[in-house]
Amino acid sequence: MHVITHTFPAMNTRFDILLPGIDEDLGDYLFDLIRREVERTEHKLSIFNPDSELSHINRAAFQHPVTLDDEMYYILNHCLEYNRQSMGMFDVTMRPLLEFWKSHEISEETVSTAREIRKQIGTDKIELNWKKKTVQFASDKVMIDLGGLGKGYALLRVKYILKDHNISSAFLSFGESTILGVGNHPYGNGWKAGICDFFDFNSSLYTFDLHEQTLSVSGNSRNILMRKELVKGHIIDPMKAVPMGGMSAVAVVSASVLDAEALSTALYPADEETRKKILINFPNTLAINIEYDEQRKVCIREIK
Amino acid sequence: MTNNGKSASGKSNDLNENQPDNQVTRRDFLNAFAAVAGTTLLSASLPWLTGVTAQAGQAASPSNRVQLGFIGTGSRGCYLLELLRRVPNADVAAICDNYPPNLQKGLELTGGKAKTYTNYKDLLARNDLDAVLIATPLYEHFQMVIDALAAGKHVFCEKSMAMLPEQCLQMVQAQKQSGKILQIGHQRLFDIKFLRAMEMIRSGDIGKITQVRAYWHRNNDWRRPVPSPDLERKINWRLYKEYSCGLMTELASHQIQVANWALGAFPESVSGSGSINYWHDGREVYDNVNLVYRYPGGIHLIYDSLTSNKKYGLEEQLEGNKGTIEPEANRFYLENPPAAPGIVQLVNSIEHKIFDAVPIGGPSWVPENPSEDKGHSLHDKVINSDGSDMEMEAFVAMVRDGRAVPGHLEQAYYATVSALLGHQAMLENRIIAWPKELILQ
Repeated sequence: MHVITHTFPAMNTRFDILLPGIDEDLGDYLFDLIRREVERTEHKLSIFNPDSELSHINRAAFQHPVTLDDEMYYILNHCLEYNRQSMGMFDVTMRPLLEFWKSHEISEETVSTAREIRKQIGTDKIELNWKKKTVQFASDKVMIDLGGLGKGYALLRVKYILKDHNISSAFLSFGESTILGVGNHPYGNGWKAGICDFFDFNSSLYTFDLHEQTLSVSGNSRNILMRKELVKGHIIDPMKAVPMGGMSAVAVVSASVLDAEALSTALYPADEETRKKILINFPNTLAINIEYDEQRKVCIREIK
Repeated sequence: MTNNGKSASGKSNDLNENQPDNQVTRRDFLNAFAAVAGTTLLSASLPWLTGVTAQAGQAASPSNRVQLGFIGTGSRGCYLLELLRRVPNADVAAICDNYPPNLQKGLELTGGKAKTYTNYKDLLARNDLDAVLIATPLYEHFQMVIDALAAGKHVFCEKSMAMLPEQCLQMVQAQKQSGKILQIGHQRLFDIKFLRAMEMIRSGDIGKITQVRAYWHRNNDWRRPVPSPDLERKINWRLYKEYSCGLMTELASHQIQVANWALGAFPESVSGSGSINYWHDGREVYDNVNLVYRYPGGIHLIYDSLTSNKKYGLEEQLEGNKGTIEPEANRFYLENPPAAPGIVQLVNSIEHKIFDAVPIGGPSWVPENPSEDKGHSLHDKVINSDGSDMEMEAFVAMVRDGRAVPGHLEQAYYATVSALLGHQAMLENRIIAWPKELILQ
């Protein structure tokens, strides 16, 4: 079986595509198409690109309503919906807190400051007008950072490209934190994807069967963990306004790319009761909690 | 007849003759070089390497010794003399320079053992010399090389080959007729960074090279101290068109050689412009040059050199569709990140018809240097060398064995002629196509 692969940098990580059983010319054509689409999406949604549509929204939406194209409306509408369905645990406005914690250590005083910042941000301060297709912010401190949902959206676009070209089998990885299995492995039913052991990337902690499904993992960066310098992670608990610490992750499998991405982000910082309530809104979803103790002993359990 | 210049790479000699165990150091060095260079792809171009490493650390037998004469003991010449002291089977029996202070320095480097000459023809008349090394100003190379080959000597001559393309051609023809070795001082051909770079290029690691950018920027007047005004042109020969073609023959030829080597071709044409825009001190050669060389397949080398700004230093940027190599800095950069290890494993399992889980999922992978791609080392071994020492090792080994490195003289020929045609293009302000009569048969 001939297999072709392509890897390219995107959204501060890498995008891997694996296509079995297609010829090189079609593969090259698809790789080019996919790369351009992912780059287009990044260009539109990146907060690090001052010319992106999202940057424009972040600069202007407190001053006046900003008209959205259908694509941006679709994305922001999903952000609001996920925020509602996740009891507020999925929140794309946490960037100011992330920036705050980059330069502050956790203390009683800084936590208090962070909570003041938290009061001025939040998805509830994003107003979408579905008739006019506009967005407006109720606070000048609000800025939208789509984070993993941006990656999920790009992957969704790639899924459509593959479907449009009748690609029946593919395995895609976006930064290894979002993995999509399309069709079947050449020698099996669906695809199998393992969650890497944090301390031995060559072995799997848990294996998922993916049948036209997406696996999304949220947790602290592996590179940070490997450097053993982890004090503050890059995910903010929207309720407590503090960064998540510890060596843990949440893995979610869903038939929807965006659901998987939003859910892993929402479940990771949530407490057990909230997690259960959130999952009621997402039937047919598998969620796993992975947690290491200080002796690096791992505990894996399904969230339900 | 003096070459006071530093090594063309700008590196000063840092050898310590009092090293406690010079032979062990040399053996380690040679073995490290062989470990990196002795791969399948490279070994074919380094036939002398096996012999050199096999004998490293051994005392040279009398039958193995090579008798050398050295012409031109200025700064570069003395640097090479120092390097030759580390080659156990090399005996420098004669030296020649027509500038007494340099001759004295050269004599000291041979421990006072070499016989001194002020006329190189007297040195060439000796029958006991196997080879001569020439490190004189450019304008003297042609006649000295022709005479040395005619005298039955193997020859090492510093770059560039000569002042005129036709002279370069005659030198190649003279080498063929004599059957002797003619090696030109392009030390990058012996620099492990460059050998590794060429191996990567031949292996397709950076894809198809579609452009080369090369530059050599310095911020100094390129002058040497002159003891008395009547020695100005003798000491500062690089600044006068009667003796040198300036930046093109003294610096650019090194880098054009790298471009030719990487592309496996010589230019079809060249255009360029040069001027004196800063050092208005009576010099006759350009203090800045800018050229575009066109190679087969529409590939270009964009070259510039200047002497009034050193921020960017020197580099040859070999740009392929999959990556970039900067050999001077010992770096390469890939256009794409490496595939996720899990993807590599998955491909392997599919190829072996295995349906199994691969470890892949986890919190998002981020590049080590997300904000600034610092690239990767071409090789990890620290070899403090610009290739000049291996160049000397190789020359002595080749003289001993009577075998030249295949293709090296051609490399030197095309590098010098490329530089000279570029020089001509600037002087005549026109595009110069490579003349058919200058293509080696």
